[in-house]
Amino acid sequence: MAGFSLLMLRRFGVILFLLLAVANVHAASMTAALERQSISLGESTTLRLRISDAQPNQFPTIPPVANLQIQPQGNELSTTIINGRSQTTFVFTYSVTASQEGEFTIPPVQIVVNGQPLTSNPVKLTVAKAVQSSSQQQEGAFLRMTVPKKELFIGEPMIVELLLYFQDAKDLKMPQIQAEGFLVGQMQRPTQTRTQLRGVIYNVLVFRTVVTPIKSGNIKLGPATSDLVLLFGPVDFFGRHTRGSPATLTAEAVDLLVHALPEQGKPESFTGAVGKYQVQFTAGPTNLAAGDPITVRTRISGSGNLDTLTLPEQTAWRDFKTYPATTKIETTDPMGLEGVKTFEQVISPVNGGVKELPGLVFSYFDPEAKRYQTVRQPPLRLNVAASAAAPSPTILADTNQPVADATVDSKELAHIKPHLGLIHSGDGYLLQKKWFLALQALAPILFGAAFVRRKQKEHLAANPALIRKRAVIKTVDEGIVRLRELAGNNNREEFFLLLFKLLQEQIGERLDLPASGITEESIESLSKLGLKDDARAELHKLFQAANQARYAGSLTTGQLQEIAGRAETALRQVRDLRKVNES
Amino acid sequence: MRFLLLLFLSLSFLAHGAENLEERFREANRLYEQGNYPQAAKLYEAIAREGKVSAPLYFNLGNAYYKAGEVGEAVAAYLKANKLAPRDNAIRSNLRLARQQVGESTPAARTLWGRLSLNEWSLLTAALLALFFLLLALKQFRPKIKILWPATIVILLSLVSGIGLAAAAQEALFVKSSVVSVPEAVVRRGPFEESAASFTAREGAELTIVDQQGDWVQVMDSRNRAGWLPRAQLIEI
Repeated sequence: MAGFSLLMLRRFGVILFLLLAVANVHAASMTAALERQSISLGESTTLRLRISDAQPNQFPTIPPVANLQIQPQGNELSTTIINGRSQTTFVFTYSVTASQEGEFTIPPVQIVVNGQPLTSNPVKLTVAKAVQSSSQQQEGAFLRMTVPKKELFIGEPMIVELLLYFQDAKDLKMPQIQAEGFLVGQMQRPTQTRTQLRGVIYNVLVFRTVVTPIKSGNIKLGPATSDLVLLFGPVDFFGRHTRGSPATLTAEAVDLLVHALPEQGKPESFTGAVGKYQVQFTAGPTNLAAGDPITVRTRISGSGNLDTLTLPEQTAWRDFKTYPATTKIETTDPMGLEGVKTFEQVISPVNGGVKELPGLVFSYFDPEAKRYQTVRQPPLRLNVAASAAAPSPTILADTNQPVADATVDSKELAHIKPHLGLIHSGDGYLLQKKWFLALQALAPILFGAAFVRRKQKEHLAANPALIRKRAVIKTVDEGIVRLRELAGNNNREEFFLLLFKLLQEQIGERLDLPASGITEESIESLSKLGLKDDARAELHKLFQAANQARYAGSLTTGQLQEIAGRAETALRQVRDLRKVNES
Repeated sequence: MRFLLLLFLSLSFLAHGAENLEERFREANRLYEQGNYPQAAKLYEAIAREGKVSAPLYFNLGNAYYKAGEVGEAVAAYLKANKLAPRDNAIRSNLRLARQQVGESTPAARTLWGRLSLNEWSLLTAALLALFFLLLALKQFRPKIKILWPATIVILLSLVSGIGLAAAAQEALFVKSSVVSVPEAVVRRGPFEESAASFTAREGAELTIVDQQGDWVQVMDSRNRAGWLPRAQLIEI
């Protein structure tokens, strides 16, 4: 039994080992890559050979290539752990130098690891003519401009490289290119590398941008310039030169031949697209009523100037009402020349007789094939029901009310509102406005005023003496005015009746006695309130004048006015007396 | 007579001004319908810069920016429209779409005070308080009238409204919101270009401003990550 178990374990172990070995061998790979695919004669670049998940036991040998010197430089090992699985990578580096211009292909490298052959990919290297020795090069820095080709068509974009070589410099500025007759795109952030040229090590900044010719003929691209500060002289503790001199580096202009797009064979649907494209087209729904919207999506993928790509007017769509398209670009390369541009457009059939949506037509000029290409999509069958009151698509709302189906969860953008609506001043909220805050005080003030008024009324109601005093004051004041009127009219009888009444009212109020009970004798009681003798004497005279005048002869207006004046004075003197308990 | 003439002239002037704004607004709408979204956005912005704003104006501006591909500006415009008209479904719907495009999530539920704008809370609270004092004043003139229950209800409603007002005011006046307006903003640990990066915020991301120093502002995102970035990279709401 034990022997049987041991046998099973051994078999299991072998199977496991084989599986791991197979797994390991299957995971092993080898790739080759050049640091720079384009160099000039006399320059060198670095070839890197990466071997993953395998342990070679010797330095891989690169197959010989005529006119290329490939020298091993060194190797390094790195181990990474991803999702618990460790991966070892060996990197072998080689220096590559060319002895003549041209296009070279370094063939695949073949090695055998653990009995399993590994093969790398081939790599291409372009060697341009040697950089002319210049005074700038002698100063330790120079600028070079390279283009992939010298002939192109109007509208054909091309990547231009500007290589800034320097040994020790600072304050390097972005290069500028003179490019009349071209559209120049944004200069990308540079990559940095090192190279050896005629035995001198240079740092190299590689700038890339896209230029597109907009006119035909023999056109110069450039020159290009770049400003920097060259460092020279003795070095400091950190190994940097301590003296600097500003310099402007210049790269010579490049002669290009730009061809105009041929007129012969130009399709009607061509709208200026130059490049290489594929088209995908979708539209839906296909079962609808006249006037209902169909969303058309056109995806144009490929390489070229995607920004300027436009769809031609589809003349075959005459049975459809079309609306402007929205666009979206997704690029797949850092220069923005490859990617997908998506057009989304709403159209609607104008009547129920529409049976199909004619296929989309798109044309472009292929600069490599040097001819126009036209892509025609097949027509799309539609089932369009006639609608008696076919509503137009809800593109423009009639009121400021939200579009009927615009709920919060709608996946479509709610359309714009047709009216400006309630306008706000835009300079703050109501809570920040002084006038608004001041307005809030109105209601409390109104309440306060009402409260005070009520309290006054209650106070009065609890003080009949005060009420009488105020009533008598009002009566006497009005009475004096009436006396003067009666005097002016020489209405003697009424005059003296009123005078008598006023004397009774005022004296009665001060003495807390009913007015009707006041006689001439009551005057003496006023002495207790402090009324002086002459004032009391005057009151006596007024009472007597009032009594006698009823029976006496006529008095003149002037006499009556004089009596009115004396009465006013006397009455005010009585009014001003203070009662015993009065505050 | 002179006063009436002055009043008439003032009203005519105001009416003419409003009509001019409406006409320019319609012109911007026409540009939008023609698909000229950048120009439409410029015209909407021009009206807003004059200090005359409305929820439809900001909403249409948001749509123009959205169609023109400037999602950050669109989110900012929708947020401003939402402040003025928090119950407008169209605004909330488009704001949600714009937020989805930038990968931001919309809060699960609106706060109670978020259902009214700050001005609406102010007016409601002011009206309730005024009603309360008017009831008290009425009692002074008509002592026999019974106002206990109405006054109690009104004062309780005023208290609730006052709390809503305080919450809305705190959010509108003391919490400064902003939206990132550049494709990718690097939020740094300090207000200097040399400071280490803390995190990045994409265009349209909504950040709260917590402090400022010169041209830099300190911000915090929904995950409470804080840092500094240049004011020029933000649109303040």
